[in-house]
Amino acid sequence: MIKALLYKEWLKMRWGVLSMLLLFVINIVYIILQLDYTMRMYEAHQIWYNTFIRGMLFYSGTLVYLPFLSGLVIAILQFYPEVSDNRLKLTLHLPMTELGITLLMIGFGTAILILTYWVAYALLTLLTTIYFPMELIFSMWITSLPWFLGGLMVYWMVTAIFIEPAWKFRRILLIILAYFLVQPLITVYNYNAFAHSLTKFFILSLLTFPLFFISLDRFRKGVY
Amino acid sequence: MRLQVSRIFLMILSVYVMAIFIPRLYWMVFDEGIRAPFVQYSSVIDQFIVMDFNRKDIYTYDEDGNTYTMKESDELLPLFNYRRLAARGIMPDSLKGQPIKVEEVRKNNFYIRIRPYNVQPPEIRLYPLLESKPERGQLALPENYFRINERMEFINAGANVIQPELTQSFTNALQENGFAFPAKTVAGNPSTKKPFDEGYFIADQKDDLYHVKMIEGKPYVRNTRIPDSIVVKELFISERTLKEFYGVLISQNNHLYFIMYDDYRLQKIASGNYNAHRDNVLILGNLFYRNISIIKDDHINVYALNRNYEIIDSYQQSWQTRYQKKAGVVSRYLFPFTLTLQSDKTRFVDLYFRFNLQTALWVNIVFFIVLASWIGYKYNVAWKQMIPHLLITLMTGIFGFIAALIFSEKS
Repeated sequence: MIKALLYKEWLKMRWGVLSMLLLFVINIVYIILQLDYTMRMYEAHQIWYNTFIRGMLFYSGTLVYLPFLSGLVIAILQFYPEVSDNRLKLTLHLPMTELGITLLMIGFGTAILILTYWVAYALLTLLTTIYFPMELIFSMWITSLPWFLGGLMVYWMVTAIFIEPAWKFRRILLIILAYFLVQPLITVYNYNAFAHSLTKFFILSLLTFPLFFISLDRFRKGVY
Repeated sequence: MRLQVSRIFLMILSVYVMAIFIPRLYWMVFDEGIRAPFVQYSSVIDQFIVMDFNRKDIYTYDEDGNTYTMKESDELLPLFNYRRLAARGIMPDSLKGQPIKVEEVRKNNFYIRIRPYNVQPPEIRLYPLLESKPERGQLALPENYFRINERMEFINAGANVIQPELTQSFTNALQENGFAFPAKTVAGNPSTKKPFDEGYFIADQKDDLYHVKMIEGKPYVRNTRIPDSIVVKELFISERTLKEFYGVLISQNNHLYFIMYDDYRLQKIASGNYNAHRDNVLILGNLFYRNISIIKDDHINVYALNRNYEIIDSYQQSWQTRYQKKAGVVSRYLFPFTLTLQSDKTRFVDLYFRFNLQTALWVNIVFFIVLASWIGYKYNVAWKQMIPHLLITLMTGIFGFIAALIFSEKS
């Protein structure tokens, strides 16, 4: 039962996941090629100077928005088919608790999303260590983590938005809330800007995870 | 229970978003710029000249209340404005009975501004060590960057590998001088746009301060032997042809010092109740004076020091902050707290709260009562489910009130 459910989730999102992975890989390879190019055209130490002293972020750019996009895409692929034509009602009538099924779906989506992020991080880190010492790698992690946190937040918010039955008012409010929650996280600041506050923002994004409980409850009761 | 907790989370998230964006909008509409005056000691009339930028026409006056036009005030600060005066052909050839040479004026003029976000900013702890005596006489950025952990390691930028020779010689030199690894604070002026290079000032684990530079590829290391009572918070090094001091040292207890060329003596400079994480400092130097301004949110303290660093005059002026003006007072009643993610005092993103709990308490209670009566009136709103909403409204006032209205549950 669980296996079948997970397989169904995977069927829904597999092309999306693969495309997002591919986008990450293309983007990261591009970033590194560009870095390699500038290091050859200018001098490596000049690029180090720009990076450490002037605070240039060679890895920002599209990479800021890719985690956001993947969260959005996976959430849509998973839940759009469910809410169109009210299929979610059928799904929730399987011999399992409604909460269990939804939790399974969202948990699986979250796991896939984190796995995608992990692959992206590993690749970026691996390639960057060719050009930079650990100090920069740590700084890159701290600087880019909020973007990925923003991606998780979007995923959780969008699932709650999809399950939410009242289109007109409530969904729009949730969309506005999601926008303002995520926007500060996928903004580019100077490097290490979140060095003292990552835990706080992590807790804040965790708060968005259970929002689907409310939507689910409203769905069950049939609020329109 | 689960549902109730999620509803509270939704409230918290909404309050968080509103506490950031509603006050931001409020201030976008009602804020008026407040600029601290620029105050400098005049070597012509021996008193402070104040420039107030909050007037429409930039308004200059002295301590006796005489007002001046910009053109006149230029002449009262001839050392600061020597370029303007020279261009107008009215640069005095003597001041205070001393003949004035433009060359000397230029050499003695300096301008140091330290903003709170310059103090302990985010940094990547890898530093370029310039060659202080370059073969071709011109400073150049080096290929090697150093870090100081268990040793002083040099890493070659092109190859991204450690340079064993430099690492060995600099680590040895530091050890011989008693350096306690790793470094606490590393400060230099990694730039080629300076007349010469003085390398780095580095505080070690014992809070001793070392001067480290590279001369013809060899290490130059000196323990500056600063007093034990002075612990470094931050250093600002910048090379000047004047060669009077290497830079500014801010101690943990917020005192300001110049690190002097005279055997690294620390020259304390007047700093009032300066707080490095909150206040701006402006140090102006010229042939006769050191002019130190400590600029806080609501007042400025200015000290004029002679070249022996004795205070000869001081000036204070205060003004209303935006929280004391009408819009600010209203905001203190309206918003029980406000939240910003960025601050003009630091480069770090964080949750910066500003609480007005006491002033906003009554307004909170009004919102609470309105919400409670609304729930009573709209009988289809579930009473029990709204208890957290009511409590959050009591605590967060307008933010909780709005959140409760838009995310209320029908029973």
